[in-house]
Amino acid sequence: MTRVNLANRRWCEREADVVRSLRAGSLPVELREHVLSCVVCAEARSAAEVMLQTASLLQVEDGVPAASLVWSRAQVRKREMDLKRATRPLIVMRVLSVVYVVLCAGWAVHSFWRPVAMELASGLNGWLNAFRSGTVGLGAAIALLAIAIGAWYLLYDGRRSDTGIRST
Amino acid sequence: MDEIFPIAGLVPLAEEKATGMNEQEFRSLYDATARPIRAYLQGVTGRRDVADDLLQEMYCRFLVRQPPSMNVDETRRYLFRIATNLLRDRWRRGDDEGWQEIPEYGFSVDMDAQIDVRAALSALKPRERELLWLAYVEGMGHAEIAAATGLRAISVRMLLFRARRRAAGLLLAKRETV
Repeated sequence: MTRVNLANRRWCEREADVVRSLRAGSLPVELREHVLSCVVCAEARSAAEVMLQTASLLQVEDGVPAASLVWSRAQVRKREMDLKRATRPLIVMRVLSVVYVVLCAGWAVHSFWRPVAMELASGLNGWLNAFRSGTVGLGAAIALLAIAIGAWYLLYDGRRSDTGIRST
Repeated sequence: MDEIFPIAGLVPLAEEKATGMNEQEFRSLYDATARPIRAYLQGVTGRRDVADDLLQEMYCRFLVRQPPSMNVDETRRYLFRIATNLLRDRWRRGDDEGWQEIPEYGFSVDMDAQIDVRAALSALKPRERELLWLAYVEGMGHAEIAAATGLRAISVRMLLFRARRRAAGLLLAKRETV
């Protein structure tokens, strides 16, 4: 193999052995001789020595944070996530109720505006007649009342859950 | 290598089941994995405070995510994967650009060698430090590094080759100037 080919090599089948020996702390004579003649293994040796020296410097340092501390933090985080997950359906329901109220209000305005505008000309009695004229109006009124009560309950419950999460 | 950490838990009832792992099991996992991963985090960032923060965050994420049952090696790789993702998040935010200094440790360490190491590590890119650490300190193969970093094995091979060449070149240049 020419010198150019040796320089362009990207891997060597003995690189893993060289690294393993360096990690173990000693390079056998045979591998040492190989490293002298192999560009890939020479580079691997230099790079590995940099990293292993850094690792040995770091080993001199104090221990890691206490396991109990990490465990406690994880438990707190877990409880927070469980609470958030539990309140997620309520948030969805709250958004849906707002959308429903807006749609109902739009529908009510659209349905009653024209008769009311016409009857208003003949007085308040006419407007009441327009509202009483169909069961649809009564149904819409009951639905709106039910939605308002439901939305109020969800808002109240949601605020209580948020307070619970913050205080955990 | 047959030891299994019972992490799964589909319907948690008690607090211990909620994370799929009780405190005793967590302690044994922590004792087996915390030191090498902290060294990895510090080796790549060069900062002890950051390494400690990321270590704690890594275990929190591990416990909260409740991954399925894994053996020791799989768990170790999974933890390295979380640690690597946390490091990348920091780099994306621009929190860690340069490699910080490792503190000096008196006369027990060869000072010339220490200076070479610092210069080489400072000049390397974070990803290069990451790959070199996993390959040469942790002794991982290309497939294991791929699993721990989320890269493809073929990319690991190429990136590791470049990182190795760069580190060797930096050391050589440093020694020639001395």
